[in-house]
Amino acid sequence: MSTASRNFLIAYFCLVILPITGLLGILKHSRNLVAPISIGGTWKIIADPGSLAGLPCGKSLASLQDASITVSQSGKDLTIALPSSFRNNASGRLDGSILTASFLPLETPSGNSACGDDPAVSLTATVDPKSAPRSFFGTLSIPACSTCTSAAVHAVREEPVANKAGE
Amino acid sequence: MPDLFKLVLQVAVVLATCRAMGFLFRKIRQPRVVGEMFAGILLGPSLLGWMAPHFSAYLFPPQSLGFLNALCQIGLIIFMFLVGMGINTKELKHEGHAAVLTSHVSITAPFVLAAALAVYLYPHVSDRSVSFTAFALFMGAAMSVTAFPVLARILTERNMLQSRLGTVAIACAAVDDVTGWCILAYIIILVRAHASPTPLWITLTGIVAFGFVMVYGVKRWLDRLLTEFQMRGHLSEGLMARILLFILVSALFTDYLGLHLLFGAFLMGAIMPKEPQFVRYVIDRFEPITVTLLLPLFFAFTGLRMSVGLIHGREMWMYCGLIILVATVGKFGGSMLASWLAGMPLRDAAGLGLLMNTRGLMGLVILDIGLDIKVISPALFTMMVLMAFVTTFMTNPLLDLICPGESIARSASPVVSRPSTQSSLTPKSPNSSVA
Repeated sequence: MSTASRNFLIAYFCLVILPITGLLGILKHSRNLVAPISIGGTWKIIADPGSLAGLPCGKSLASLQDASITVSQSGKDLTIALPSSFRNNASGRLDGSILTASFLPLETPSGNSACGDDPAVSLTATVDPKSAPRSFFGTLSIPACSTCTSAAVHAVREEPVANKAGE
Repeated sequence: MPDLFKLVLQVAVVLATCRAMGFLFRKIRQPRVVGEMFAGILLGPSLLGWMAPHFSAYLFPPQSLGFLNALCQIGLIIFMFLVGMGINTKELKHEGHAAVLTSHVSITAPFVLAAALAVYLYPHVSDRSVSFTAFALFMGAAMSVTAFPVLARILTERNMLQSRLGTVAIACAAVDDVTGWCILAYIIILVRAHASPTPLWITLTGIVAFGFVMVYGVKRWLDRLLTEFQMRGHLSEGLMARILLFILVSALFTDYLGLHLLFGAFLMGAIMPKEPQFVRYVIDRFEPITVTLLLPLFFAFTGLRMSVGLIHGREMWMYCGLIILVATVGKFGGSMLASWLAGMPLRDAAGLGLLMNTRGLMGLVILDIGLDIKVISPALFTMMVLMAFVTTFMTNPLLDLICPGESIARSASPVVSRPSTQSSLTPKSPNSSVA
């Protein structure tokens, strides 16, 4: 075997064979890595109209009754497309199974001092990872409103992610 | 029914923007395709949707995007056929140890680094609907691909196509693309196997049988086309229509088998006769409408699916930076090291590394499939598109630095005297478009 061929084989082993072995090792040892629960997709909001109406500063919340929201998920970060009465693309976060998000209505309530300066609506919910179709239960509230109570909210995912490759 | 007025308006706006950006990018010595990629980003939520949301919503309402996508997919089917036609992996045999080592390292280095990065990124930018294996393999495939057509274009423009550096780069890119598409096929099978009611062994058997029929059956008929071409100097309209029909049927078969339309088109191109004049003839007939009309629509559609706004916060931008860094170190560093160890001068080795780091349209096509099959999230898609854009954009200026004119002229002395089929995907005039 010539020196050039021997050098080629050594280089090939070091730069190709060894890295492929490393790749297989990475795939084997990392296959149990855990990513956040999947909540991407379209969700149907089911809320109690009575309790929504009980939020004097949250007129726009009425539009959430039976509305669909679309969640775009990138790990723990969420981008949520909302009905037209809200400013589109609210951002949210998923920590474990706890979903938090904040929505800004298009119209800010005026003439009600109890509503405060910040019209943001806050969603805090717990995702049930075992439910099929996936669902969450939580509350909608307006943190800046001192007289508002929270409204219970329930949502069910309409279109589960099609490709279940690992869940 | 599609809103024809809206569809024609969309096509006109996309074409005008792509031509304008292509022209501007040519002024800064970039291939037109880089400008067209940028035009796509401009037309999406990252700029137009952010600056003029109402106009953006009027021009690209969500319900109209299905028709735009259909046109894109037809364009991509023909484009992948052209890419497959331009690829001739047998050329690797002429290039010796340097090309074999470089091509294999230029796949394994970015692949392994991407898999290592995936360990860090998976919990941050993915979710449990995707297995780690599929995620890591996809990251590897997307980072290890080289934009064969863009590479050929850059080499043509720099008069390097017949140089030692050029021939090695083209041969390596051909191997990279074929390997990348094989890995992607595996990922799609892996991902869809969990959702499909069809048992995996049936899918695999179908794919093997289809490949067998294509290589040992259809290829023979295609070889007859070459004989016909050599006798008459041209192919009749009927034969051209039959080629087109075969492309579509092949694409439909791979889609039916659970892969993707583009695999069939690519395979059809790959088994076409590789006689240079024949390749040039066929590509000349299919290329103009594909690269001037249909591919810009794909750039726009990709731009509409990405949004820089999804990358928010320092942490997300750090992920994006890491992706670009790892992709560049893996591809550029791996190719450079391998070719240098194989005896190439350091400057040429660095030039080869830069050329191999060009991802361009091929990167976008793979990413688009990844988003379709939901292996990557929208934010990761945006980061990876930025990576494909940045790595393509950096090629020419860095080549100017590393391989300036004198260096190119020296290394441009032909080592292999043969007609070029690789230029087949590059237009004849510098102002024409290329993918």
